[in-house]
Amino acid sequence: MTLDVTALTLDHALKGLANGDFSTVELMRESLLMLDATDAKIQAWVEIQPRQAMELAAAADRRRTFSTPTTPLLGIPIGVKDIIDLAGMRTRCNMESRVNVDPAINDADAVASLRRDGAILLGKTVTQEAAAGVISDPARNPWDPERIPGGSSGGSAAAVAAGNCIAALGTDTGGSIRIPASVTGTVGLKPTWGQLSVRGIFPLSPSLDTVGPIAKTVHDAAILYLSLARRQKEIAGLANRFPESGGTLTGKRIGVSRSFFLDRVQADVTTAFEDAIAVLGSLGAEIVDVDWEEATAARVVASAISRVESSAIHRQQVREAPELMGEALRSRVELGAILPADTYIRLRQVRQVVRESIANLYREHRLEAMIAPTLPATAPRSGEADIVFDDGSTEPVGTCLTRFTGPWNTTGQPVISIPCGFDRLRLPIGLSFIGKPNQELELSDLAHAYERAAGWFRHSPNLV
Amino acid sequence: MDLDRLTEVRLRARSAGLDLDDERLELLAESLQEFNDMLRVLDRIEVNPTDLALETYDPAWTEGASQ
Repeated sequence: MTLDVTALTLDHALKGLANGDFSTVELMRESLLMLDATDAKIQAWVEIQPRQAMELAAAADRRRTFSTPTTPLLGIPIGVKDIIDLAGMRTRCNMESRVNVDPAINDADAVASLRRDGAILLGKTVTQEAAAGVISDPARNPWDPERIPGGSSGGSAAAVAAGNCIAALGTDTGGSIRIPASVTGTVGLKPTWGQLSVRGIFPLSPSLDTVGPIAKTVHDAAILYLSLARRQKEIAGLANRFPESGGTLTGKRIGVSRSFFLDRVQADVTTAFEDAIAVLGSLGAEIVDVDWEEATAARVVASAISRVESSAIHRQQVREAPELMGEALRSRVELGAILPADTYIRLRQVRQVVRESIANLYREHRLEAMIAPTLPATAPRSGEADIVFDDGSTEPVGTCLTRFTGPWNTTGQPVISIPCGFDRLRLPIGLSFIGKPNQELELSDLAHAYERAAGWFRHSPNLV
Repeated sequence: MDLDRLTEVRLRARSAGLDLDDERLELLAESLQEFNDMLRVLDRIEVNPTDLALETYDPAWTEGASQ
């Protein structure tokens, strides 16, 4: 049989495998065929292990034939961002200095969790140099291969949107899961900072770094989240928690801070966001207008802390072999290297004030969550330096695409970005649900209800 | 470019172990200026100077939230 792997969700793949509708070998073969058919355009992968993947798929089928599998992700093809260690493969981080680095000996903890639960790690996906940026060159956007897939987990999101794998791992320091999810029409979950182990992941800014899933639906992201959190026993219960028919949001209070999150936004993004508010209202949610005064400070703190911490990580390289660094990374590291320590300490102190401000806002307004456009804009063309707004004004791509994502790295809250429509060029638009720390599943409840009511998850790019 | 400013950036760069030519020093001085301009938005925020920023999540997150 022929599977439509571009539309196939993780939830449906697991059901199809369990029911015998298709085998793991068929699923893997179709994924690899799609990868082969789209690779010239999308270029999402650094390296894959097709032979090993097919062998593992055959082994998964044998296991399924002779016993009831106890591993919840048995046979599911997953991509891994190339700053995350995958045993036996190089972790190159799109850095020239690491092209011939020794292969990783061990899996990162996140990879080990997925492997233990039966997933098949297909290979490494493209990222920005050292995960410090939003372009992810040479990967491209499946909705328009002339455009970027976002970053720095751009290869992971592009691979999922293109049906090369069922889901993928990304990391998020200033938006690197949510930005690619938004521009590729996928779902990205940035968990609470500090909750999931980042051991075995090349750091960018340790006090901001998180690891999380990129998938096709909220349910799928929640399955992977539970695997990563080593709560796999709860995965079976998600089918009841996230029914295909959706649910209501009666009595749920959801905050919107328009002064910051609707300022300098492309008109199509504003329209999609207002439409999403209407859908949430129709589900019974109470939309509460709030004013988070520290949003600008939150954005600045994430950007500044990230520059200082990433500089510490790459200091030796910039001293000894700067010619091996791209200009953007080199400039960032040089700047971080000359900043005084008291600047960094003050940034950390301000971060605490910002965290208290958002906690008070949630308490004062009895909020379950906040929502915001994930990004002010849709995907720019590759090579474009600026985002262009409807009034003709411009903003550098990197600044614009992290403007609404960075604040939540400062606060450390969990955020899930899901599709909420398309612009006039049929490029995806993302909606972020921002929850309270360590309440990823409660946040997913809200996002799932919206997702099912709005139905944008049913759209896939037309690739071949 | 202000020479005093460039000299300060050169000294800071040397102190950090960076050996930069004049062109890169000027770029770095411009980046530093932009960075400091960006941080001005934080000037109005009062912090506790004895708090060395071992951040925690505020218990206010869960108090009184709707369920």
